Amino acid sequence: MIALILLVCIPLVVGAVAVVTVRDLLSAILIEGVVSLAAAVLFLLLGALDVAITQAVVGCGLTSAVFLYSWRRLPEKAREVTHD
Amino acid sequence: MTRLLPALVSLAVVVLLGALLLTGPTRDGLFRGSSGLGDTFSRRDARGPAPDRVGPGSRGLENASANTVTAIVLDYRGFDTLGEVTVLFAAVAGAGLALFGRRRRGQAPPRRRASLILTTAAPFVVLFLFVVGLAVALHGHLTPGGGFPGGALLAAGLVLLMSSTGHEPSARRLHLLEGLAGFSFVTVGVAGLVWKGSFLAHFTGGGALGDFWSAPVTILLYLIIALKVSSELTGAVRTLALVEDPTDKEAP
Repeated sequence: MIALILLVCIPLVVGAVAVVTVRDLLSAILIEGVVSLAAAVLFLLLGALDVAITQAVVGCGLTSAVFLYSWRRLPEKAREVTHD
Repeated sequence: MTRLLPALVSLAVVVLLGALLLTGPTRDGLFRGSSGLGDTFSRRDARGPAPDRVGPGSRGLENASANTVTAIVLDYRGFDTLGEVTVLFAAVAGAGLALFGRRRRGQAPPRRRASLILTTAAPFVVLFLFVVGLAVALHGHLTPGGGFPGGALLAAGLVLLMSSTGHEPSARRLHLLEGLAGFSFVTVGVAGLVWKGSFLAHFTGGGALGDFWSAPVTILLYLIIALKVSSELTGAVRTLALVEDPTDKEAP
């Protein structure tokens, strides 16, 4: 069980780092969705079923939808992050 | 035939899923001490000494629902939940206010057609989300979940329907649904005040702990919350979807 939890934590941590380092905003949004899904699986493994449902629907589904709708409204130049 | 097939397949999936959720693999039926999939979880909590009768004479509030989290959210902290729902409304209203005036007047913004993958998969996923969302909301007093995740599932289905067909639900209808849900919540609360002497008190009797009908007021409240949450979230995404596209201005 511990091994399984740790296995789920790997994409969680790698994805979380990737979200803030990746340059393309669309990729960041999609990776954020994957991170949310991994978090939902983690909650499921830890026995918090209702939190897992909410995390999957709100975190992975609706938040990504809102981000994607906002991304569509961004001008072309703003779609890539520049790290100064 | 090729157009009828997806409809038939999705109907079969929904009927099967609904039957599974209502009857469950082990016990017999919704109305006879079983809660379908809920059984798996609720019986664990309900097991123990002889199940308590929950009724007008029942003293302990938490007796009404086998799911302890729901007992706290809707019984002990029912008034707080009303506030929580209001906060959600305020957040959505604030988002709508921030985007106000940026909406294109007259016609809806031009949109790209949804891709083949989305239009093909959407009917199945939407029906699945609706059935599961309703089941999660209705079994909130027995199983993990309840009105908030259930409403979010319904909203996810509506958003998917919106993005796959390109038709938005009318704002007037969403607002009506939301207002009606908010009004119903307070009405249920006042009914408890009138008949039982305290706001949101359970004014009906119930069955044995773990039964579907063990907490009728909780079922009603979670159904209302699911309606409110789904209409609010759908309205928020709808507002975002209709905001004027800044890139459109550059196009000839």
